[in-house]
Amino acid sequence: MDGSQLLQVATERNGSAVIVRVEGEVDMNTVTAFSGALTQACDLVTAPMRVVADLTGVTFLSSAGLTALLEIHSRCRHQGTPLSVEVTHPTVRRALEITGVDQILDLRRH
Amino acid sequence: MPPTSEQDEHPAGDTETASAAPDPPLRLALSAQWVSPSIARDAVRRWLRAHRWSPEGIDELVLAISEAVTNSIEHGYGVLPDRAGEPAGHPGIVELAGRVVPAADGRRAEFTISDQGRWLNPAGVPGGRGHGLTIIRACAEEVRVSGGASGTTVFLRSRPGPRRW
Repeated sequence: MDGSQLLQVATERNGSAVIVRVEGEVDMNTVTAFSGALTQACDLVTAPMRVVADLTGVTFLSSAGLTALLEIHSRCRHQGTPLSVEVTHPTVRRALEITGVDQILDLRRH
Repeated sequence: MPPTSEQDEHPAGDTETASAAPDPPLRLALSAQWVSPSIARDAVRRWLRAHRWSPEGIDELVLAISEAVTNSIEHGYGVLPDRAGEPAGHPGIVELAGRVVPAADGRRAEFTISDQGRWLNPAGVPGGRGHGLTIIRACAEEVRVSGGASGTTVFLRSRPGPRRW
């Protein structure tokens, strides 16, 4: 099975934000696509634009996904383009809380 | 439902008196591919649901087991993260076993995740990979990692689950 079947990623521009909408499970099988889409969004924006990672359709986020988010976070910080991350699924929220990554990211819980 | 036909049941339960447990253990042999953590998550979720585990308890154990299986594939068998589409990164197998044990303050689910890959000291794992072990430890009441030349086994015991069968 190909990892791309387990993750769907769509990127769109909305005003001053580039929004990356992700659906599915983020783990080692799919993290390359996840990371790639967010990196591409980072490339598209210039300050004062911002990046929104809409993970409300993500049902699982592994440590590999957390690491990818932290990398994008520091990259966005470096180039002065805010990153916000939207989550809803309890398993995803739990992973963020346990690792303390929720304290680092600008997290919007829905 | 007595296991009359299957040959591979009761792997870890044989030290207990067979109390006619209404509790078939979980047994999975996973290939060292990146689709396997997802398969393990689905199986563990289904199995714990059947045992009336709480949604929060299930989430924690699914997180922990997924990370343990991932570690076996990545560190035990050395499969690289970007080999998603390839048929098999390594011919090795990751074994996942689970059982429910009674306790006065609520049942526990106990799991072992074993590989026959190379031993890698968790402390020696660089960078962000440390999140994996953080998650495993935070999601269980007890975690033991044992390893040697023949592979690595992670044992984890859940926090108290539901009291009734």
